[in-house]
Amino acid sequence: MSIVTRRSQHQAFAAGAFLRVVNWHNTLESERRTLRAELAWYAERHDPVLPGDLDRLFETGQWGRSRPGFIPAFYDGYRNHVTVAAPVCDELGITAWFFPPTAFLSVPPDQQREYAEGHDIGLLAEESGQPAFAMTWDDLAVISRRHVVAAHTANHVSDRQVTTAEDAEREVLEPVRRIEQVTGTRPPAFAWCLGAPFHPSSAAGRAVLEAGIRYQVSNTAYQRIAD
Amino acid sequence: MTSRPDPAAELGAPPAGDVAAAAAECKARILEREGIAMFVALHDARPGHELRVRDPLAEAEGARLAELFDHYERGLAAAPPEGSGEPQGGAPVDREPEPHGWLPPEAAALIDVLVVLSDQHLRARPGPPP
Repeated sequence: MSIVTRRSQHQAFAAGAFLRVVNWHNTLESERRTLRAELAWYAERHDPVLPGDLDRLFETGQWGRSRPGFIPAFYDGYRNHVTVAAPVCDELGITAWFFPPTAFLSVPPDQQREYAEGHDIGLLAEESGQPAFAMTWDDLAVISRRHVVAAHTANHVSDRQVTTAEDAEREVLEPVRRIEQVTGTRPPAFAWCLGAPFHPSSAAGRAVLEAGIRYQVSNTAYQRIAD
Repeated sequence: MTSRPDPAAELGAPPAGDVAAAAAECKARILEREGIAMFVALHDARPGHELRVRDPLAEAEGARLAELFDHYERGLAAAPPEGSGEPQGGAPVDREPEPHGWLPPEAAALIDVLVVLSDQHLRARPGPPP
């Protein structure tokens, strides 16, 4: 049964099975004050959600918090997540979730613009003078000390681009292993480019399960897929 | 007997009357900004598992959120196709949902509802910077 229907969404909401998320991609230096103001607004009203909070909810049905939860999510591994997003979150005491496409982090800086343009990672004119556009693996290790690092494929691909064992190794298994090596923690969650939900019978879905991921993140839901 | 907690203020706010106009404003804003707020479902996809929320705050908020979801769904379903110049209201018409990559039409329509719902009842509205 598809969960991506209006009926399914209504039923989940009515049962209290919902989550607030706020998604960012490129967090420009020029937007730092706006980002800070927005995050502060959310933090005044909500508690940041950690993977353990979701685990508890799925096991007990209890949030265990007095305020609603929210997940601030930063996608695509931009360098400005290290220089803008993470410091702003740290300043406000907010734990965020970061979803880097891991291959981007390994591209030499002088090739990152071309790589981004070929992999649906948006860059803006304001950034044209930057020496690099992607965070480094060392940056990711630093971020992981205070934040959640989730997986977002290697090359920013959709689930439809993972049909073979080789695809699964390259886009799911290896990125998850590498993140775990660098951060010391297996990513609790995985998101495809374009935000497809979990399909357990597909090669893509099986790969996410094999990688030991607990939560599939899609455009319309956070799905618990494994213990 | 204990009273139910009140939902967060943004959920208690009245829904937008002109849903089509709210959706159009929201679409224009999304094209030029980051920080897209979304209410998403929680679903247990593990075989033999079902998420049963037993949390007073989540249950109270969920009831209100489902009402708002229905309101925006009805509003978008009743809106004329973009650019038709037709007045709001009247009989529901087939509305072309926004393109959303991998999504089939019903799922795309669902995302349209979630986007305007979340824009109206979750998006941060900080005051002007000092």
